[in-house]
This record gives sequence, C-alpha cells and structure tokens, in this order.
Amino acid sequence: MSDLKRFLADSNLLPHRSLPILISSRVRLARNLADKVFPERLSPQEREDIKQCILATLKKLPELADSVCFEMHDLALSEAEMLVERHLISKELVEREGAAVVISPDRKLSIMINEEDHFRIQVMDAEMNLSLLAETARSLSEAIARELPFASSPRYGFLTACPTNLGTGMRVSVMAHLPGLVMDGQMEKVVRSLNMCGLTVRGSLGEGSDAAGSIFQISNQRTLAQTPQKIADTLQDWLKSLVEQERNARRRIVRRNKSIFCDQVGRIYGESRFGMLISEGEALTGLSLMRLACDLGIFPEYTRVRFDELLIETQDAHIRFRNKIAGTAKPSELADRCRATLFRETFATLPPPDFSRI
Amino acid sequence: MSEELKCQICGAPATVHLTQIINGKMRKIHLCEKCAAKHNATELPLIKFAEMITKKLFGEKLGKEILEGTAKAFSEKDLKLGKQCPKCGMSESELEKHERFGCPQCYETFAEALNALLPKIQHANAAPEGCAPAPAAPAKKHKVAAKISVETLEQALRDAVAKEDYKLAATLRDQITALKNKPAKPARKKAVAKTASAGKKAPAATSTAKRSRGGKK
Repeated sequence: MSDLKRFLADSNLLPHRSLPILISSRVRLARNLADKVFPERLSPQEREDIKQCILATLKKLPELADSVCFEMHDLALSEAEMLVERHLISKELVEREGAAVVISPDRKLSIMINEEDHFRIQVMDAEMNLSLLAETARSLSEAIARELPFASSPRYGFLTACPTNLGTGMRVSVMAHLPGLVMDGQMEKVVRSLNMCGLTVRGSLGEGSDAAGSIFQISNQRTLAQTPQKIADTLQDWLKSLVEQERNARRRIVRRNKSIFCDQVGRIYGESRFGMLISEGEALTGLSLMRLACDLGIFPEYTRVRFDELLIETQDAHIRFRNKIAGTAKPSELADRCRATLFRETFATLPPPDFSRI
Repeated sequence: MSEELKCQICGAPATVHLTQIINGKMRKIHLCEKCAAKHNATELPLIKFAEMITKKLFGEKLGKEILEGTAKAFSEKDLKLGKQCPKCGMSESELEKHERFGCPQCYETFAEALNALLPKIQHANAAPEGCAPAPAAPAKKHKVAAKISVETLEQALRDAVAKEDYKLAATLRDQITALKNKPAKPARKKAVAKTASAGKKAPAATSTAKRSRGGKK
C-alpha cells in the first residue's frame, strides 16, 4: 500500500466536532516566488524545477514536519479526486502539469504548488475562529518567505497571477449549510445582500460548482487594500447574522409545514436505513436533510459528526476507492449499491428520528 | 484531447483557424500566430466582409468614408495594444483574453490596464467601512432586500452589457422588470417541496453572484 493509499484510507483524522449550520472554515493565501514567472507561463521543465525547489524547501520547515507530499503526476485520477472531495486540493490542481501538494498529518493544512500561483496555502478547521486561521496561515507563509522570498510590490502587496487575489492574496471562506433559507425561498435575496457586503457565495466545491445539498461557500470578494485581520473579522461578523437568518427560516418551516417536514425526514431516514441503491445526488440531499433534522433535535447531537463523515465518504471518488471500483466518475449501479450499503450500515447504528423534540 | 493542429506554413502549433468558402467550396486553413500575422490572415477576410456590407448599406461614397474612419480607429487601437512584458512576453491582448498576469513584472508593464481593471474586480462598490450586518427585523428586511435587488440587478445589467454577455443581460432585464412590476409585495414563501429537494437550488440562480474575473475560493 502506497503512502497515499494509507493516507486516504485513514479516516480517523476526520473532524470529531461539528457545529450546526456552519460546517467548516478555511483561509487561503496565494503567493508567488519573487522574480519568477507565474506557473501558467512557465515551460514544463521550468515548472518542474520550481516545484522541486519549493518541495525541498518545504521539507526542511519544522512547521511542516511529518507532512505528506504528493506530486500530481504520481496520483491516479480517482486518488486526486478524493483529495478534491476532501477540499485538500482544488479541481484545477488535478489538471495542472508540474503540480504538487503538501498536506499536514492532521489535514488542517495543505499547500498546493504550481496551481494558478506558485503557492496556495490553505488552513482549514471545523471551528469558526477565522482570525486564528488567518494567523496560522500568515505565520506559515512568513516561515516559507524566510527561505523563499515572495513576489510583492509596495503599492499592491503580494502579486498574484489573477488580480482578483492581489494584495493580501487571502480568501477567507466558510462552508455553510443553509437548507432553511433555501426551502423558504430566501436564498436569492440572501446571496444578493451578501454580494452587496463584499461577499461571494458559491457552491460547495468552489468556483463554478452548484449548491447541491444546500451547502454554500461564502467568501470575501476583495483582497486588496484591507488587512487580513479586517477581512476575517468582516466575514465573522456577517456569519452571526447569517446564522440568525437561517435559524429564523428553519423556525418558520417547522411552524408552518411541520407535518410535511417530518414526513420528509421520515422517508429519507427509511431510504437511508433500508435503500438498496443510492446515487451521489440522493446521498447529498438526503444527508443535508438529516443534518438539518439533527440541528433541530430530531436526531441526537452526536449524529451530526456521522452525517458529516458520510457527506465526505459517500462522494463518488471515495465510494470507488473504498470498494475498489475501477473506471471514471460515471454513475454506476455498483457504486450506488456500495453507497447504499454504507448508508444502511451507518444508519443501523443510529437511533430512529424522534419527532417529539420539535 | 483532440489532436493538435500544425501551422500549414511552418509546422508550429496552429492557433489561427480560418474557414473560407470560395465558389461554394469550403477550405480550412490552420496557421500559427506568427505566420497568420505575416500574411494578415486574421484581418483580411473580416475586413473584406465589412467593406462589402458597409458599401452595400451606405452606398459607395459614404461607405468608403466610414471604412476609412474605422481603419484609422483600428490602427490607433493596435498601437495601444502593442505593449509586451519584457520578462514573460505577455502581450496586452493576451492579458485581456486570459485576465491573468504572467509574472511579477507584468504588474509594472501593464500598470495602466491594471488601474482600469482594479475598481471593477476588487469591488470598489462593496459596502463602505462600518457597514452594519443585515437588518434582523423581518418587516423591514423585505423592503430593503427589494430595493437592494433592483439596484444590484441594474448594476449587474450594466456590467453584463459592457461585457457583451447579452444572455445574462436579458435574464437580468427580465428580473428587473418583474421586480419593478410588483414593488412592495414580499415574495411568497414556498412550502417545503414535497420531493425533498432541499439542495436543488443552485446559487447560479442569482446571477449577481457570478463574477467576471474568476477568482479562486
């Protein structure tokens, strides 16, 4: 078993804590080497040289001790997709030549090399302490900068391939589970208001992805002329009111459509507990509803972590990897059967829904 | 991936593909950028076509005047587009196309273009400092939301027209008309969908969320 296989198969390190509504938080810094051409315009040989130089430096950093490193050309497509499903790398990195990723043993930190920029430093957590994450990312980037100076200018700050990242190079984002606002038909308005406040709303896999399962990624638009602290604080402030709005929407749904809602939860529970074929999309919408039911007290608090694990484990690349299904991401009956098995096994260990709690 | 086409003159990877129809026969030509520029391949057919149509529309004399004016404007634009980054060879037209810089030096080379670009992509129209979080009172919220949305949509419409994304522009126009037609009415809340479609709603429905200069998460 290769390093990677062991790394991917090991699910002991998945988050053991899970909050209602807010699933995870992340800070990403874009950085480039001083005086070097950005990855997209490098020749394959130059890109390879830069990658090796960066990897050699990162391996020496005490902050990254025990981290694992994968060069993208060594990974099978399905393995790379698993890393995407865990948000450890971006979809773009999978297709890039001369790319690599360094991941910390607790999987809260990953550094993509030769994505759109030479460095994409990511720090993730299930907690919602955005300024702490920003601080962690900053200290890591400073540790790297001591060895390899970054491209910057006094006027703009850090220089990035895309000017949307210019300045701090920092994107703070939060994965939010907003089924209440979606069901209540408020999501469009919320997205517009958030846009007005300088925040972007995307689907859960970032740019261009859709918001299946009512999971949205909310992040800052501006990276220039703002301190990292201010960016983190702004998002943190808005989250409070967003969570409040989502709670209100949930209350409205339960008040007005209690029996329809309970019926849905019961049906999805039945499918999850006894279904024989579950597609990736069904799994996602089902788990989204189960997570909502858990937040409302229909399932006990500890089940949320299990639902979060299933959200990751029932994605296509994970199912194919676990069950050694060959082939590409095409929907297949075999994968659906394996997914349903995983659902049945997990739900057999969970208590049935208790509707007296709402 | 499809097979890469080669330039029919020098054999380098072809980036310019021409399709000519002469006397009902179709001919395809593949050229690299250099050979295409050498032979004016990209401009010739287009200009010929423009000439033909202008003269037909405006008559021989007026048409000629229009064409001369256009040619002058084009040559001025070409002069402006001539900048190239000394470090990575990025040209201004490439920059416009990809919206990505090639190297740190590009930020100095294309300072002018960047200054024009920054207010748009770094959202100078975002909330001013000290902007308070969303109003909590539901009665107020609907009014504010409706007002915000017409303004935002109109801004987005202007942006879309500027970018010549007419498909988006049409959608936005319809949304604005719909909003203006029923101003004070708060949107009816939908009942919980029977089909457990909690996740069917994509953020793409709100076109304002889409940004033109794609940043990363």
